Amino acid sequence: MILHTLNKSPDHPALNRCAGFISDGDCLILIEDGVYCAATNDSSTLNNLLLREIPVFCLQADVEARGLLNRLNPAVQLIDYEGFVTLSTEQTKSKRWG
Amino acid sequence: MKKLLFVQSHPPHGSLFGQEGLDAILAGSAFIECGVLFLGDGIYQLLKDQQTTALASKNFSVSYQALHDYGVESLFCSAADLLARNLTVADLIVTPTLLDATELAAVLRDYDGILDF
Repeated sequence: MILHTLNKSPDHPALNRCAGFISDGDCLILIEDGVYCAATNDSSTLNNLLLREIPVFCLQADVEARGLLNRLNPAVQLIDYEGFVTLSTEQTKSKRWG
Repeated sequence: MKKLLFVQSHPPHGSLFGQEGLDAILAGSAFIECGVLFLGDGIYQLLKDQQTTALASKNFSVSYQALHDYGVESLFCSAADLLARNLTVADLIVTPTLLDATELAAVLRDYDGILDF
């Protein structure tokens, strides 16, 4: 099981590249500019991951800083730094994208 | 008199481009007529309600409201870029002029120098 972290906006190819590598049982955390991926309403890549029931998280501090708190896809879950650490310990390895 | 166009094309907080660009605009406005063009993710710099306390980062977006006092009146953005991000001018802390592709190209031609951030 892999924890994927993504720190680039949808303008960057990282989201699409990362999505191709995500398997069932993995999870995705959007951090830094990666949180913009959960703020556009037309991200089919992200919606496909959610349809596959891949858990997608956003780091709350990054969401608040960018003024996106009320603009996120409701299927995306907010986590704090402590939650990030917990998820890291639950997965066997992690892969950083971006 | 010559005119300088500052182009902001990065979102805020993920890098220093936005803050550095804004500092350059404020400094430049003391010497020369300046305009600002927000392209792509750069428009996110103007999104309202940025709360940076938890990130220990400065919410420099509020300083865009001071541009008027510095004599910087020409703010532009791409209407298509705004739409692609599901945003309207009501979501922004200041109100740029929305331009189509032809008008954007004309802005680049109109200015004597372009500084990219």
